[in-house]
Amino acid sequence: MKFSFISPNRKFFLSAIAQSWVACFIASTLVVAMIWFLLDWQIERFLQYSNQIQQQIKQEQSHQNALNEQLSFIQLQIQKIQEAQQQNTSLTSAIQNLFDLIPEQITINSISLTDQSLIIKGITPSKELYTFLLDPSLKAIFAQSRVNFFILPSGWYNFVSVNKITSNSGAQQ
Amino acid sequence: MKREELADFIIKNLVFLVIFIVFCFSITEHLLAPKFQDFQEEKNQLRHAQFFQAKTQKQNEQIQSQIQDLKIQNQSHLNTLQKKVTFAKLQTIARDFFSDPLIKKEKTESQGAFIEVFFRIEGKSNGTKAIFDFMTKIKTMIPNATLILPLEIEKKDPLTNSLNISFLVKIIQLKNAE
Repeated sequence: MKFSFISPNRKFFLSAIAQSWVACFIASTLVVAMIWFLLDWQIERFLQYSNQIQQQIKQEQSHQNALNEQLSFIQLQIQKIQEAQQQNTSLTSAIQNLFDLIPEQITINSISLTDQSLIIKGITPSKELYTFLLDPSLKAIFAQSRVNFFILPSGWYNFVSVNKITSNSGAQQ
Repeated sequence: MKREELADFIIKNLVFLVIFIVFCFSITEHLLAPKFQDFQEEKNQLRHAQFFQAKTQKQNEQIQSQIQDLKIQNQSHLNTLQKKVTFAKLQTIARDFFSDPLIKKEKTESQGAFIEVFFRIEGKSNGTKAIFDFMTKIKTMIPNATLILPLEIEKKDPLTNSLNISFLVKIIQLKNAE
């Protein structure tokens, strides 16, 4: 027995509209997934490249340390030579100035110059000549200056002048 | 009937549209946006690393250039530090200014990468000018040499101008000088 004059139409689980929208959802999901994987792959590449560069930076920094050491050492060598030359200039100049202090009338027999003292032995025609011409200059330079005179048969004087840079207690003659 | 079908069509599409918008918004916010942020961060870090590498390389080049310039400008002085000064050399120079010069090595002191060698020079001359002439010659031939006190000058014979002179010369060298 038939209850309908027409045959039943086929019915799908999803309507046409729903099928269209489902296709839309699937397509957009695929697009998003593709973008996601693309970004992920690019990030991996960036990380790899970054690591390589970090390695190179470490090498460059290590090289820089070595170069800085080399530079410091060269600068130290140059400084040593400059100090040596400066010291030479200062000392020879000081010695020259010291010799220039001695008047022509006074004859020097020996000079002993150290870092702390100067001892001069010589002959002077008179005590006053030494006292007025040489003694003031020595006292201006040295903290302590004393002289001993020894009369000679000729009437001239042998003298021993002891001059020290640092002052000690002692009689000054 | 057509009106009802149209209404049904519109309503279904609107509902699906709203769901689609919400869906897209959600996956963009929760999946794509953080990933894109990571991408930007990694890109910036890479750029910084590249910049820092270029900067370090440039600094190294500058230091290298500075070293080369210093070596060229101070070549002769640096060479003197690397050469040992011999008795013979000092004797040769001293002979030009003193009679019968006697050279003795007094002591050697170590100062880090350097050593200081002290030589005592004794000789005779006809005046104190010889000392200054000797030091002027030393300055040009051995720039790493320094006159050191004590300086002793003695006139043995009062009838002549002959002086006995004694002083020290300090020479700085590198420890591995040849």
